[in-house]
Amino acid sequence: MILATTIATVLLIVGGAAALVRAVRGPSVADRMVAVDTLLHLGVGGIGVYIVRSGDTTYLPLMVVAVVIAFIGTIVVARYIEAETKR
Amino acid sequence: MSVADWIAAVFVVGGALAASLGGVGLLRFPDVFARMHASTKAATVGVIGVMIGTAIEAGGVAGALVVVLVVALLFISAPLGMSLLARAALYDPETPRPSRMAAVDLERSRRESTSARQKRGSPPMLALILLIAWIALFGSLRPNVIASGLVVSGVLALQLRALAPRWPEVLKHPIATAAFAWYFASQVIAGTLQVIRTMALPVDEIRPAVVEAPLRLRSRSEIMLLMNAISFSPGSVALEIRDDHLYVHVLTTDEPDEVIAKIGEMENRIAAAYGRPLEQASFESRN
Repeated sequence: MILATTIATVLLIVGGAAALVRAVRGPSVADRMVAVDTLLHLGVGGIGVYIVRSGDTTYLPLMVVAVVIAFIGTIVVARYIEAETKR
Repeated sequence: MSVADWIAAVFVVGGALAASLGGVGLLRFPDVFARMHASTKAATVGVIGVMIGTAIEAGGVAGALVVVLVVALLFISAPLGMSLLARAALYDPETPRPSRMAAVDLERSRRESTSARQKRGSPPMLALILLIAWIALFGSLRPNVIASGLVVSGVLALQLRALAPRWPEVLKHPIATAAFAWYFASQVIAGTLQVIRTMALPVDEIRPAVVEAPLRLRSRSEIMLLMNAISFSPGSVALEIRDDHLYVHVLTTDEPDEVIAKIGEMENRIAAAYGRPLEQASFESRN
């Protein structure tokens, strides 16, 4: 299980790094938000891998919070883009 | 390691692989809508895979319940959030567009909700959903958790009566609903594999397009289900609804008609799950 979680952690870091590059490069606000949303979801996966590795379930509710924040963040940015377009 | 440990390990590694490929897809795909394919399919499905592994290892029913709540939230929020963001980006002049794009007819009105005023929602249904979420969040069936959950969900359901959903009509047609659930699950897997395959293509062979399709479903919950199914199924993300036209971004295609036919089939399956067969005419007349 240590080996499996190590592989999974490395994979998630690679995916997260790629998402981070996209978030920095853009070019549009929507691109950045897609990247940040994906990054948060990968973070949820990371918490899951940590739980599997350590057997420590303290951070379980944190996953719910992260998913909800990712959703609300996406909606807020979508509204922001719409408001900017209308002006 | 026990058998359960092995299964969990496979889900964790497989899910992490799909999720990381989703992240890489953000870099490789040519426009923002194509990147949403990578995000909603590969990344979300990958994370759900990791979550299944986590549920097995999370130390009993209590932990697994929290993970089930996370998976349910991911299934609803990821495609819905992306659809909203895609719709905003569609009108944003600063967002680069795919080269082949059906023009959105701005004369058509945005759809107003039709079902909300027809039938009243059921507060007990809302209370039940809130109670289940409360129990899942605490991951416990202790009497104090259930009692506090009953109070909170009861007060909220009475206060938010206007937002209460109706009892889901899909429950009346369990076989058609189960068939749709199976179809949905197979679409999710196929969609993820397709995104990963597309990622291996050279950049100039990825040919995204925006396709316009007729929309026959009427009620809000049916349309939301359709948007989610489209966003999870291979090669398509739902963008916008204008009147009875649906705009869909396709990851790579040379045959827009195939996409339209597939959406028509998806509508038929959803309508069957709701027990309201659709008339075929309006769809065929457009082909």
